[in-house]
This record gives sequence, structure tokens and C-alpha cells, in this order.
Amino acid sequence: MEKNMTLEQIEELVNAYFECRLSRTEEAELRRLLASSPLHSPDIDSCRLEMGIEAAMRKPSRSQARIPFRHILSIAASIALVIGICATVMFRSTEEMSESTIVYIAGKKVENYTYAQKLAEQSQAESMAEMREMLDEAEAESLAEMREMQIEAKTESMEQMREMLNEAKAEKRGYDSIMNEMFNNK
Amino acid sequence: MNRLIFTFLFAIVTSLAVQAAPPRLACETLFTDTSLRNENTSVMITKSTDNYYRNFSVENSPKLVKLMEEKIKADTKRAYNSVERYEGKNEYRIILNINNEGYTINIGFTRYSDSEAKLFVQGEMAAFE
Repeated sequence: MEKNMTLEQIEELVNAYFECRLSRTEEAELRRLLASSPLHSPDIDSCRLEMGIEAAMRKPSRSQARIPFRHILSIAASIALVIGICATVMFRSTEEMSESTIVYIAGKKVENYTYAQKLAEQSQAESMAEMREMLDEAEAESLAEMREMQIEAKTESMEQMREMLNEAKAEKRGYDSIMNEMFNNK
Repeated sequence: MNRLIFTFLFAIVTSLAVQAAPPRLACETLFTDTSLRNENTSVMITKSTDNYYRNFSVENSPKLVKLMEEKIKADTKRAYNSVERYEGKNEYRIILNINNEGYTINIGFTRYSDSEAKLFVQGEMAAFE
């Protein structure tokens, strides 16, 4: 087979291949021809596919051109995420590394760090003590109120019970006197 | 490609959403506004991994005392617990407990007079992040 065959000639050979009219030698030559020829048509390409040389001769398609761009985009996204995470961690550690105690007295900064820390600790201890005192007092007051209410409620219910008992006794007395009258009259 | 862009945007939105929200208390602006630092005010800020304490004190400034009262009033609405106490004619104290992201923030305000007061904000570091 000649190397510079026309499209029609190659298609004729391809048709002969599909109709099993080619010898083994001719098939091998056709395979070499299809592998080296830049010509394409639906029949020629399906013959290449059939022969297993379709991948080597595939035309660069638009979908192939897309894949590198997708990879670039995914790499860029990963890099952006990593940069974002690193920036956040670095920013936080920078904040933590900055001064942990700052004190201004009457508008002037206390430069002696140890003294500033001492002042701040003292202030915090006082504030926490005051807070605890107020909260404890409030809790004690509300407990005392609750106990009072409970005692009041208990006393009230006891009185109600006594009243009901007295009423029941009075009713029984009345009933007993009626019964006695009935028996006496008989 | 649309799926890739969507996944990327979703990852960004999710990472932002899981970030804990700072409390943004009204009282905190007293410490961030540096224009309030003058000869009438004292500011103390101390922080460590498990403690963040800030104190703002005022002397001879009725304007600043009023400002502090406004801030406290705004934050009182967010408190799950508050205790108030009046002592004498002028002295007034209030303690607020506010919840943020499962952590408690304590705020205390003491007004000694119309022109003298102090306020503190305290909690674990995680409560403010």
C-alpha cells in the first residue's frame, strides 16, 4: 500500500477489511497505514477503533483541551484553601503572641509589664469576689423566700384541713341527734 | 466545571459557617474605642488561654458614666441571669451572666456616683472567639 493514498482509497480498503476481503498481510499493511495517515472519516476511525489504534490517532478534541483547565482550576482551589487555612492559623498565633496584659491608668499606658500584670490580676480578683458575693446573696435571698412560701402554703393547707374536719364533725353530730330522735319517737 | 465551582464555593461557605461567632457585646466597644482613653479613664485588659478579663473605670465624667449605663442596658437584654443591688442614694450594682457558644460571659457594672463608675467583662477565651 502506498503511503500517500487518498481518503477514498483508504475508505475502500477499510470497507474491504470490514467485509473480510483482505489477507493477513494486507490487514497488517492497512494497520500501518491507518496508524501513520492523518486522514479521518467515520469509517476510517471505526476501523482504527476496531484495530485498537484509535487512541493513538485520536484527533485533539475540545473535551481533551478542557481537562487540563479543570486540573488547573482544582489545583488553584486547593492552593487557595491551603493559603486561607495557613493565614488563619498565622493570624491567630500572631494575636496570641501579642501582649497578653495591657493597662492604662488615667489615659497613660503602664510600661512596666510585671506591674501591669499585677494590677490587672488584683482588679480581676476584686471584681470576681464582688460578683460572687452578689450572686451568693441573691441565691440566699431567693432560697429564703422559697422556704417562706413553702411554710405559708403548708400552714394554709393545714388550716383548710382543720376546717374540713370540724365541718365533718359538726355534720356527724347533727346526724347522730336526728337518729336519736327517731329511735326515741319509736 | 460547574460542579467543581459549586463544590469549591460550598467548601468556603461551610468553613465560614462552622466558625464560632464572637458575642459582639455592647460593653466591648468601651475597650475597642481608643478615643475613650483619657485622663478620666483607666483600662485593663488581660488574656490567657482560659481567661479574658477587661476592666473600664471612669472618674469625673458623667458623660462616660451615662455611656456605660447605655451599654449595660443593651447587654441586659441578652443575659440569662442578672442581679441588681441599690446601696444608698447613688450606688448601683448589676451583674449579668450571658451565654455565648455554650460559654458564660460575666459582666459587672458598679456606679458609685453620677461621675464615677466601673465595668468589667470576664469569661473564658473561647466565649469571645
